[in-house]
Amino acid sequence: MILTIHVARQLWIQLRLLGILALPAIATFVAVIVDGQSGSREAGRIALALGLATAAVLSAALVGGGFAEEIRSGAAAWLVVRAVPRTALIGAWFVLPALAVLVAFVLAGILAGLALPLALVQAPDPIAVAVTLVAVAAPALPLSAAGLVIAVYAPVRVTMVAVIGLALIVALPLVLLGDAAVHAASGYWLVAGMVPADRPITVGLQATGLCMAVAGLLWGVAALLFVRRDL
Amino acid sequence: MPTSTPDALWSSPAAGRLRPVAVEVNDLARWVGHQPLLDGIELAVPVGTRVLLAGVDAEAPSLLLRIMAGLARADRGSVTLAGLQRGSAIPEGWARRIGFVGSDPGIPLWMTAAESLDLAARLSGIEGPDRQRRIEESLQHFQLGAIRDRPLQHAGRIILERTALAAALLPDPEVLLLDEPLRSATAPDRLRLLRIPGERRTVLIASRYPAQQGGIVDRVILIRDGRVALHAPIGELDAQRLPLSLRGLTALADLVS
Repeated sequence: MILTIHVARQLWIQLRLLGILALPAIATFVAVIVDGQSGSREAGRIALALGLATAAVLSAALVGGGFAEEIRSGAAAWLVVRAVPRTALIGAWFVLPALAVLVAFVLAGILAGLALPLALVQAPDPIAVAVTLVAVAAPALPLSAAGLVIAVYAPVRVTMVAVIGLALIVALPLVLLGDAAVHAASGYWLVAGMVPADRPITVGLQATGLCMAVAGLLWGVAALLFVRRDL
Repeated sequence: MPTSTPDALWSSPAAGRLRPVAVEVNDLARWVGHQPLLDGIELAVPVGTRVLLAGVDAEAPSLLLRIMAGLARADRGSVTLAGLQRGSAIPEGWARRIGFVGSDPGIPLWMTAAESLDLAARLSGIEGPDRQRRIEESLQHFQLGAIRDRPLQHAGRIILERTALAAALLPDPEVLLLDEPLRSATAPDRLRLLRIPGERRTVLIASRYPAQQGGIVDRVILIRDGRVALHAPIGELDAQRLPLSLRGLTALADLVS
């Protein structure tokens, strides 16, 4: 609990937590403006999907950058000499931002439901909406975990740029392949209306499961590297 | 201040006669690149000793302390501090009995001095009124009262170093590891703050500038070629009319061997 509070304060004071919480809402506002300006429902949906994807990538970059700063500033070492287990420290740096990302995307989803005429978010089935929102937030988890892997050895800015670059490298083939039913970014396809909305729960759960599996694997790699690293 | 080891143990006649070992290092090795900075270090430091660690390779003493503190890994060997091995110790027990201050203070700069001491106390399992009392005493002893509630990012390096030392001493550790401590402090301040009270406390100071540790340590250790080349009372230097410097320590090591 002491560690969780410490990491939360660290994220808050560096304004990273504010960024994580605000980015999805900003993406939604931009989508609302695009929707209003273009008058096209499809343009609004695509803007929302792209905006939320960008928010997820930037959130992951903020998490990676924060952890890199924790190591570079010596704060991680300060905690480790006080017998804080390294796995607990890197665990807190993953779980806490992940919860913040989830909360931010749920709030953005509610906002989108109120402001945008999207068929999906106005659907009467609240479970489908919730699953879709989690699926939209889920790609931020493996990216955050990848950010932690990079942050173990790289400085702050390099980590943030690398996370964004990695997201682009991963996203490009996903867009080109376009098999929305299996790949990790299915949530965005749902939001954009490019996947039939009659089975959002199946698609959403597949996407979330894939993201969580990859995130767990990458977090394990990050923890292994962090435990072996000299501080 | 009470120590975390029961007083009954320390007051027993056996403890006085046996001079128990506070720091025990067995066959410790660490390669950095293709060079063995530490290559089979064997060390036993009795309780209550103040030791200067110097090295012909200036990185070696610092690396040894960081391995002891759990910040760096060893390629082989074991370290026991105050009877504890890091991997198997209860975290609060370790944090309470072992203190470390690195050459980089490392305290999160957004914290105030009081907050960093409070976090150090909580991580050591110090709760209740005792925590507040210790924090107040530390703030006073290390002259941090005036900036106690200001973020450390506005403070100079000297304040950061003092806060780091105060945080390390707050749990009243039995073994204190200091890696180039108080580099920014004036000589009188260094002497005052590093003459750390507590006859049961064992202090190891790694320094590239042995002469600065005069009046603080009572034993010297020289690491050469990755091994302990000298482990002697500081009086040996006086007896051989050698200065407390790297050259003096090397000459004494040659004489002894």
